[in-house]
Amino acid sequence: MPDGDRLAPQAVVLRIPAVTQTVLHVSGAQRQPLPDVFALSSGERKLSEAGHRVLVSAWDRAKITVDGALAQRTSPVDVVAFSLRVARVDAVANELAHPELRVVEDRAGAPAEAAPEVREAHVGIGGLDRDPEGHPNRKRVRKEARAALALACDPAA
Amino acid sequence: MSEVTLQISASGARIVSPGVASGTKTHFAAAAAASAVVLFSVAVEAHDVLRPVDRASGSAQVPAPVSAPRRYSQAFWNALASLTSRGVDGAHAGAANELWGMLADAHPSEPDLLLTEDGAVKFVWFGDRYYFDAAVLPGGRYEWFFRDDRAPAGSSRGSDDPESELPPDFWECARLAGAERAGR
Repeated sequence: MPDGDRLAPQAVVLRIPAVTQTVLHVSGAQRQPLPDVFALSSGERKLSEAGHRVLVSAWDRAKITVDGALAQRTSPVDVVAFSLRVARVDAVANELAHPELRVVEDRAGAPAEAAPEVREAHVGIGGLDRDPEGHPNRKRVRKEARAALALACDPAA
Repeated sequence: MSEVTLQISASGARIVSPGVASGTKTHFAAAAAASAVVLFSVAVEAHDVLRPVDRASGSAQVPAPVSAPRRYSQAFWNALASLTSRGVDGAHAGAANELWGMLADAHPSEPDLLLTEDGAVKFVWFGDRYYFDAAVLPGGRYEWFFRDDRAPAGSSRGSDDPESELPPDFWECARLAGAERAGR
């Protein structure tokens, strides 16, 4: 499928989030901190602020292993992979009436040095830098989509 | 709970009066507005925190208590006290402590404490039903977000842009999220 085509609902994607926060204290009285799984990286944020539509980087689980996806990260800190069924993304998009929230093929967004078979596995999640009307400046609405997706994720085995 | 009032100015801090009457507070608050002196009241026994006194009314703006006064873990206080050692500047750490002082007046459950990539200090309540975070940005402005799992999608509340003042909605969300586990 060419870049931009939507993944099937039954597909599972892996998301390896950028580490965007340092946990100083975890209260034992509540749930573990909600990881900001879909936070934009600094590069993605700059693109968005420059007016470009951003596809948040993810991987098609059917085409790459968890270790293979983790190996694409150059960050020196420990990273964790999360998995998410595309149907859940579609459900959140429906709930929020957010047509831009979708998972699409995105070989062009793979790391430049990635091997062809790795590039083939790269997908993107659109709409996380925009509200349902396509505007980039309603932070609360963007946070709601990110939180809903994070709650739908599971740690990837 | 006993209470004292601190007068903080460029020349230092001093205790103005233990158990000061509200009328006296108003008097000092008015003086503070004219002379860039800042007043804080200290709830000594319940929280060991500072909360700012509103300069117009002489009273602190606080959400309604959600439970009896409570103690927070030493680990939480240590994390809050460690902000400057983690690169947060003094004024920013002071603003974070000030926000916590206001939040703590409602006796919420103990939050998580995080530092974000943007340098914000963030208090997070994440219960079975409610998610609420309140962040103090470098410079002292606020961002916040509230989500109720049982509410319809699209009904979250929060700031779209950094805010200088916290709206009434913020305190209502803080009360709901802070009460969720406050009984534990």
